[in-house]
Amino acid sequence: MSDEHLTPAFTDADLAHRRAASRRLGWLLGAIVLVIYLIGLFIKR
Amino acid sequence: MITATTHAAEHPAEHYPGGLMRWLTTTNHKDIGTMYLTFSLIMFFVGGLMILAVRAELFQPGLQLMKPEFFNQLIGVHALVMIFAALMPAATGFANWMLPLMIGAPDMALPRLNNWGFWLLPPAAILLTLPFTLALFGIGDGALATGWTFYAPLSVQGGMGVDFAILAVHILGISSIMGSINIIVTIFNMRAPGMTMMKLPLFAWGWLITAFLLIATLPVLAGAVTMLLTDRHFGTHFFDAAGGGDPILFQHLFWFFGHPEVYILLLPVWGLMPHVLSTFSRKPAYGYKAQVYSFIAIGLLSVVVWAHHFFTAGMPVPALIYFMFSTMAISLPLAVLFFCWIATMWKGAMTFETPMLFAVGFIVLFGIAGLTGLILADVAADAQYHHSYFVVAHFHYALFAGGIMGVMTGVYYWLPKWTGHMYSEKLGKLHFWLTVFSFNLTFIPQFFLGLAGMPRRIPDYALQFAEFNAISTLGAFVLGISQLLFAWNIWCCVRGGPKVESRVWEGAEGLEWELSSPPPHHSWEIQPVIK
Amino acid sequence: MEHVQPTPARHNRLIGKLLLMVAGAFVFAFALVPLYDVLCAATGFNGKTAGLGVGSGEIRDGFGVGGLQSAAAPAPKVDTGRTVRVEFTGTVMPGLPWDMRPLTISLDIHPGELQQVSYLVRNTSNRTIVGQAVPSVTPGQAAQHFEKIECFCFSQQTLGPGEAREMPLAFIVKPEVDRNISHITLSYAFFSIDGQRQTLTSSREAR
Repeated sequence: MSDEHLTPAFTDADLAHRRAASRRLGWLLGAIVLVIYLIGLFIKR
Repeated sequence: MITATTHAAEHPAEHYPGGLMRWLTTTNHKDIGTMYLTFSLIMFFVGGLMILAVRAELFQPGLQLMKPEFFNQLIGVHALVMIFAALMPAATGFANWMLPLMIGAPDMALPRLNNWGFWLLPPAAILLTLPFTLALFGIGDGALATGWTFYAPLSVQGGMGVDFAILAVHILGISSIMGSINIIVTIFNMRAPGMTMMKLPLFAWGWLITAFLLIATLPVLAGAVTMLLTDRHFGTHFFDAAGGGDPILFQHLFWFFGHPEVYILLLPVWGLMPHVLSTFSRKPAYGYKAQVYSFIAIGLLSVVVWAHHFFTAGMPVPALIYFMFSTMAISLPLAVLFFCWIATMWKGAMTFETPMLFAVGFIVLFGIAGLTGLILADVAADAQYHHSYFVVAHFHYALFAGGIMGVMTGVYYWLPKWTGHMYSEKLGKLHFWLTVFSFNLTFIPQFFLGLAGMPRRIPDYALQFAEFNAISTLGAFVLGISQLLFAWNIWCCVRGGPKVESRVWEGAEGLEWELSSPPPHHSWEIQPVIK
Repeated sequence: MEHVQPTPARHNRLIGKLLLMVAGAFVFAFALVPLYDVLCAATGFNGKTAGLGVGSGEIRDGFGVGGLQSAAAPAPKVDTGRTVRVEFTGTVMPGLPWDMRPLTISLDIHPGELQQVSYLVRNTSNRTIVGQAVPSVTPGQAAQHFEKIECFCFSQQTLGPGEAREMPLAFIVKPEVDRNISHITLSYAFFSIDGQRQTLTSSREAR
């Protein structure tokens, strides 16, 4: 992880921020799927 | 995960022929890989042009541009070209280029066979497309007009285009089998000391299963088309009901090959995905063992589910139920793969370079392919969807979004390694967004068309389908034209560009990134030792 | 020229095994032909009927009924408690200049009854032609209980120029036929025996 070459645009702080963002997005997507699933339980055909 | 203790020794330039002779006689895995990939790109555009002609005809109801016979020839040859001459050679090109680099081998195990395997492809491609040209000069009545599936009795009665296609399939099959043998021998016998099977890169695992599937099923296709050939010319009656044969038998033989073929096309891409996702999430791939076992499970299941391609042909109910459940069972190991890919990204420091964009796009769109596949696997529902545009949309989500976009992922990911230059990120991202947008514009309407009852493989349609077909054609042309960006980006990258270092991507792990970019002529003169 | 290292013996052993697999898979494709026939005959799948000629005293059970066993046929007794409608149809395949139509379109029968119907077949050309009819029964589950006692499809039929003939068919729908089956369709496809392939592949309209 200590490669200093290429993509200098990403600092360690930046990458840490992205880690947090990907975790939040994961929970959000999981919640959306759960909600869709729960709604599906109440739909009668 | 894997670290090398030695680097390749700098090798003095050897004497080898230049110009055309270099490419004709080369036994170098990188040269052969380059030829496979170039051939694949060319045939991708050839197959694409064919289907653009088809979409142009389908832009409006009625027959505007071509006769139905020519339409039938275009759809069948489009499929054969895309499957056998674009997707499969691209995967073989990847294997040639990357396997020796990844497993620490100096070259492929059987270099001469490798050369032969490639040079069988251009003649086969010519055989496949030549009947179009011959028909222009009034010889014969054009190419294969049965669709790519060669269903008997139509193919028994068809013109000489069927013979050309049978011969082409034979040659392509021999080439693929030779490639597979080479890859299996390389993976089994040429790994660097210390690289056990469970340390093998996932890409190599994916290809290993693919190679075994090819060896197990391509000969069955070869047998089936051989029977077709003898039915046509030597008086046998394998598929001829008058002589006691059975046309349904052909469907069984064909799909015994045809279904594993889907996984043959996709497994190399599934093997590639964890590499890309782990690189750009800066995390090791999640669930290595689970992915390996899933590959093996999918490989085994794929050869026992073939009859779901013709549920409507008539089958005893117990057989229908068996094929339905075994087909649906494939979604279990596939779901394991999906969760592993997603878990690889979870909590990762993700950055979205072009290969990562393609990888994430692949997961989303290929997911749609999987879900619509489950619907088709349902015997009761299949009666409505069978042979409709729903099926067309489904397998394009699998083979374009799953196969071709996966190949594009690999090209963007490894192109800097191959050429030593960085491609244009700007163009790459533009290519990605245009591709995803126009791909969905093309195929989402086809789901609706299929649900509404529009049958596939017919050049004309009822008025109520007009709007969706117009949208689909529009999408197809944008999709086709935006692929020129891809070709242009590759061309520029091969010609020059900013230099890259050995480890092209910051988070990339694996032996292939220890070698210089581009790698030396002989990859690993001294084999690295894996700790 | 490049230096290519000689293939080590272990490569050759592995290649040998893999080539054996390839050969095995190729042979397997041809082995499927007889296997498939056996399976179809056993299950009635694809409308292959049980009565394949004289004195066929066997019941071929399907998957659902108990595998590949066969038993001696019980004396057919008529099940008057229900009726099954049997429909007759026939087509002439391209390359055979004949007409055919069933003289009875459909028949309501009790399972177990012996019935006789006939087809009218006419040669519309001015030459003598030999044809062969191939039967198919739908639904497939009924096929194994549909026994033909006498049928023009048991042998090749020869019709002279312009000749027309009534071709008879005697059959029994066995009482074992599934209770859910109320309609059975018997369909014949008439093929030309001589020179069928030539007519099919040489004439444009036949395609």
